[in-house]
Amino acid sequence: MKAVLGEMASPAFDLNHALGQCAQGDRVALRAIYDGEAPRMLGVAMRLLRRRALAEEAVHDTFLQIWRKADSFDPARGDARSWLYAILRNRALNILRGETRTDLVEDFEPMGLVSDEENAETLMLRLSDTGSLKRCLERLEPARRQAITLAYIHGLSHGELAGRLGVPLGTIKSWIRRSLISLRECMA
Amino acid sequence: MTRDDQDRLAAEHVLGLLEGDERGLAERLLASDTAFQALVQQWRTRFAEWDNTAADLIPGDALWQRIETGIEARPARASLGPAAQARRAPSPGLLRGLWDNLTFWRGFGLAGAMAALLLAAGMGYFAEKATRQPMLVAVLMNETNQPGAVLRTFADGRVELTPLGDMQIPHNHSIQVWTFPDPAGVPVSVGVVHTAKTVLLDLRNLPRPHSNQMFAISVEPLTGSPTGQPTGPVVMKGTASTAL
Repeated sequence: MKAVLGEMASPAFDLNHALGQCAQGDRVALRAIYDGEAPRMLGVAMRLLRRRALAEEAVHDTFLQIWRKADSFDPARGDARSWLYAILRNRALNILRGETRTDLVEDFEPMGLVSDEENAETLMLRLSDTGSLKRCLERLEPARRQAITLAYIHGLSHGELAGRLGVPLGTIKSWIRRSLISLRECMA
Repeated sequence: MTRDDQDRLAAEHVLGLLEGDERGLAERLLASDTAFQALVQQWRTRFAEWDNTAADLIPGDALWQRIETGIEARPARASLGPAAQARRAPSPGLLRGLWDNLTFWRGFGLAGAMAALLLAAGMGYFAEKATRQPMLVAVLMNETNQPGAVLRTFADGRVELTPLGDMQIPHNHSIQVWTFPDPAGVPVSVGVVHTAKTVLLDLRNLPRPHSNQMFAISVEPLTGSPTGQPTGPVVMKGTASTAL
């Protein structure tokens, strides 16, 4: 058991170091980041964009940005993984919000809506029991928990959340705001 | 804006819920305000556990090939110096497009590419800039107390530098523009210039410039200061005043 935990705990390589190597123009380091993170990134992007081609586009753009901006990464301001995923989420959300919105709406499958709502609770179960996010989300009322989960995971806007959850826009906004305050206090 | 408002803005930015003015405001704060950056970082960390719940999807081989082609189109950033960083960071739109087109310039070498970028950016904004009103103007004086260059800042964060008279850049060197967002702090690079002509630089990464803010120009190696701080002689300096 200890051996297994030890194996899981040791990262395959040091992301900080790999980003430093990228800043020096080392493509092998970029490839190593790609091998370690691209599958998870593609999964995160798929939840936001729902279409494989768009999700791959987001991951593609993310790696070009990692390459370009590696020398501006500052380990003092946050950890490397969080930096990578911030770039990915930004890119995916921009694609979602700006570039192909209508396209996506046309593509919406009616059945998909139902399964997404189930996912919000299923997702809760997938969160680690030891992490504070799960514990603190459990303190929120189910509908509010669902709103904040759908926003982060599937990139739903305020308006879409209102439609999905069947409440006025103003209610959604205040749910989100209060949930955020509760999460901040709980996770402090 | 209270700290609670800022925190809410940071969280909703991370969630991707901001629209319109608030979205722009958050992006500006993120580029310039360290306190706001810290709030955003905290929210990213809080929500990061969610990213670990995504199912891994194995990308096809074509994806890496496209990425590799994409990075071949550009030189590694490491050798570009601080000015390049200052200009490129949060401007995915026009500048990025310009940069991507610059693959054409690769063969001309790094210095050529840098000069071309500055020139292309200058021409790209030329028409726009003609109708714009500067926010601040600084006349930079040289060692003999003569005007050596005029620097104008615009509301969109861009900066135009116009050398005056017979300004010459020493052979195999560049001049680097610096400013002091914090009068008591260290200088921050605004950009590296290779030719003595009007160029556009980018201040959007820095706090909004204020009147009396000091600007200075030093002589540096071709790719800009290797240390991120002025290493060569300061050849001119001046403070900004509000343009009426």
